[in-house]
Amino acid sequence: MRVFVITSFALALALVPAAALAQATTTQQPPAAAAQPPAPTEPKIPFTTPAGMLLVSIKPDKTAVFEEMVAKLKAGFAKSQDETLKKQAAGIKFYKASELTGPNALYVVLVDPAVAASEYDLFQMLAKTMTPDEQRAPETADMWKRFADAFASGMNKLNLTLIGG
Amino acid sequence: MKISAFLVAVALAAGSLAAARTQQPPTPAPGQPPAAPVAGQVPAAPPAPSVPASRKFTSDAGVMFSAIKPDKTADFEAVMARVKEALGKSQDPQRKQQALSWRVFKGLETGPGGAVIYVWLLDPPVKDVEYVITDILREAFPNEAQDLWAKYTACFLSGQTMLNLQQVVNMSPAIVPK
Repeated sequence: MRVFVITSFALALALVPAAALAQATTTQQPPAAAAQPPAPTEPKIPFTTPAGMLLVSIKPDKTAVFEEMVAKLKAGFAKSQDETLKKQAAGIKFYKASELTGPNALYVVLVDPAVAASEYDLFQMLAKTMTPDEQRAPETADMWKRFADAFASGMNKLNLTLIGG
Repeated sequence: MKISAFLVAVALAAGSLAAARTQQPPTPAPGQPPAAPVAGQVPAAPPAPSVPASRKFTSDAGVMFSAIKPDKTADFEAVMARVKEALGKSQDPQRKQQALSWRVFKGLETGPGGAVIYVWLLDPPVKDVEYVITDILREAFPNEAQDLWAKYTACFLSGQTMLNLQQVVNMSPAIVPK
C-alpha cells in the first residue's frame, strides 16, 4: 500500500484564530483614562510555537494586488525602526503554490522562526509600518479596501513545532 | 458561540473549497486596516480516491501535509526518525542533499477526527528527486523496510497533500530581491 498523495487538491486549514474566540467571549473594557497609554492588545494572529504557517487564498484575478501588498509590507519592514517588526521580518517568507484552491491562488506564508506574542495579521503588520500621516491619508483607506478585496476567504494558521531536531 | 477547537479540512476537492468557504474579509473602517480575514468552518470532505502520484518537487520549496491518527503520532515520529537515520547513513549524494533541507513539523491545531497535522518542509527541495519514504527505508534498512512501511501507512487518517511553492518574497532585510 502506498499512502496516496494529493497534488491537485489543496489542504484547507480552516482555523479559527484564538483571537476570534477571545473577542467573542470577552466583555467590553471601559475606555482607558485619557492620560494613560492604551493597554496593549492581544495579537489577533499570534504563533505560540517556534514556527508557523499561514495559508492565504487569493482571488485568481487579484494575485497582483496581493503581491503588491506583500511588496509594500517588505518595504515597510525595511524602513521600520520597530524592533519586533524587524525580528518578525527576518523569519517571514511568502510563497505562491503551483496548486490552486478551487479557482483561487494559494499563498503560503512561512514563519520561521516565529516571534512569540507578536502580531502576524498581515494588515496589522503593514499598518504598523506606516506613519500616522500615511495611515490617515485618504488613499490609504482605498488601499485597505483593495487589499482586503483580494482575499477569497480567510487566512488559515498552523502553529508548528520541529520534531526530531 | 463557543469555538473549542481548530478545524482542519484536509484535502478538500478543488472545486468545493471556494464554495465551502464563503466568509469574506471585512470592509475596513475609514483610516483603519481591515481585520484579518478569518477562516470560517470548512466541512471536512473526504479526499477522492487518488492515483499515487509523484513526490517530486520542482519548485523553490515544497510542503507535504500528513493527517495522522492521534494515537499514532509516536509511530509516525519513530518512522520519520528512521528516515532521518537512513538519509544520514546514505552514500547517495542526492539523499545527503535531501537530508540537509528536509524538516518535519508537528502542527498544534488538529483536524477532523482529531487528526494531527504533520508538515514536511523542503526548503529547498532536491528538485526532480522522489521523496518516497519506502525507497529511502528500503535502501538503508532492507530487512526492516517492510515493517516500517506497514507501521508508517497505519498512521494515516487520510492521504498526504503536496504543494510546490515558488518564493514570492523573503521579508528578511538581508535578502536581496530576486
